[in-house]
Amino acid sequence: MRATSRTPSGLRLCTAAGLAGSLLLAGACASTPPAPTRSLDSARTAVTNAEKAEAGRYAAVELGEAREKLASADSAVVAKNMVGAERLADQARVEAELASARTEMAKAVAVNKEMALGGDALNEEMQRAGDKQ
Amino acid sequence: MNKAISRMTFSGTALGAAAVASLVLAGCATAPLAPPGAAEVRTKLTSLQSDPNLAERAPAAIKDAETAVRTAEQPVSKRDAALGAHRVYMADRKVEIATARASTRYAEDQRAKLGDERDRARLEARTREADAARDDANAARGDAEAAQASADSANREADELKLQIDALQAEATDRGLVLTLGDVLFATGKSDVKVGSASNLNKLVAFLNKYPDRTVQIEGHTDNVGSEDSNQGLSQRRAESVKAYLVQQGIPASRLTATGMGETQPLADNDSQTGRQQNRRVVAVIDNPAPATAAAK
Repeated sequence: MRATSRTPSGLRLCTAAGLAGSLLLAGACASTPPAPTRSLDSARTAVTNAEKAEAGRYAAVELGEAREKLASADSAVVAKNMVGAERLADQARVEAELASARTEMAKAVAVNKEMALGGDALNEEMQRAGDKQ
Repeated sequence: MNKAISRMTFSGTALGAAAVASLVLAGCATAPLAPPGAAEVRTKLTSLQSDPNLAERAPAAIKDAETAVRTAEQPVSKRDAALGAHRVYMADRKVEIATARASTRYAEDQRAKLGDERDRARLEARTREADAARDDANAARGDAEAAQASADSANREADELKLQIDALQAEATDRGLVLTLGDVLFATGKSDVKVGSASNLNKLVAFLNKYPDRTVQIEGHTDNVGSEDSNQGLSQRRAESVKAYLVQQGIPASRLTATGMGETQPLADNDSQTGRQQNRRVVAVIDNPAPATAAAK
């Protein structure tokens, strides 16, 4: 801007026209994509699935992040920022999927731990019973 | 870009504008790099793919992550920094998802192993239980054998006692073993133990030595020859005489009681010589076993 202000008036006109053109282009970009409903729906489904899988208990951070991203995506739709909305929706979806995946992992690990403890306890108990003999 | 070219043809002196446009073009053209963070995501994915426990366990998710990382690695212009950051974010989460899925699968596979281990532990436990039960059974059998042995021993003792009793020619009654010391012990009117009859008494001594917990009541009896009073005294003296003999043989006096019964309990008719001889007698009643003997059984 500082560069253009120093240029002669004829050039200033040219620059103005160029700026107008780029504004037009930007406007065209912004209005072209409709609301990313598919991404938003996927994200909502993913968040719901994560909630059902008890992600609130096992992957609370990821679930919170997914909800936040989804809310941001909705805000972006309201602000007509559809590109941003789609990205945020996609991010919300993968974040929710990650929440589900980590929930499953945490559950599986917990089950194993319990089994290992159970096995150890059984072994120990039997050992003790054996010693008593 | 069209806009820049049209501007350049618009005026040859539009140097400033051209400079700006070329700057913009250069910005677009000069070595667009992979967005920041892409390399880190690649590293993360590589580490997942080279983890022997995880690499093979979530092929679909890992393939998905690979695609996302490749997309994230595509160079983007500075203008598209937001897109680059978005792709990196997506790739990173997909790598994390793949890692979580592979880890879940790994845990499940481990579980099968844990289950096997637990089964083995159970089996061992059962084996131990069975062994213990067998040992118990053996011990019980041992106990039974011991009990049998004890019973055998008790039986032997009983047999022995029976032999002894038979030897004494004693009669088992409610009062105990009644041993009638032959009527040949004493001459009529005498209380001295006849020489020769001691062998019968000696059997009693042997018996009492063998069963030291038994006590004996010695009862003297007479025929009806002479007065009742004198017979009472005589029977008492005879009983005392037998007692004295037993004490002399080493039986403690505390185990012996001597009682004179007089002529009150004849065994046979006093009218005949044989009957009177049977009535002149001393009876040793050996008390039934003390509780100690019963407890031993």
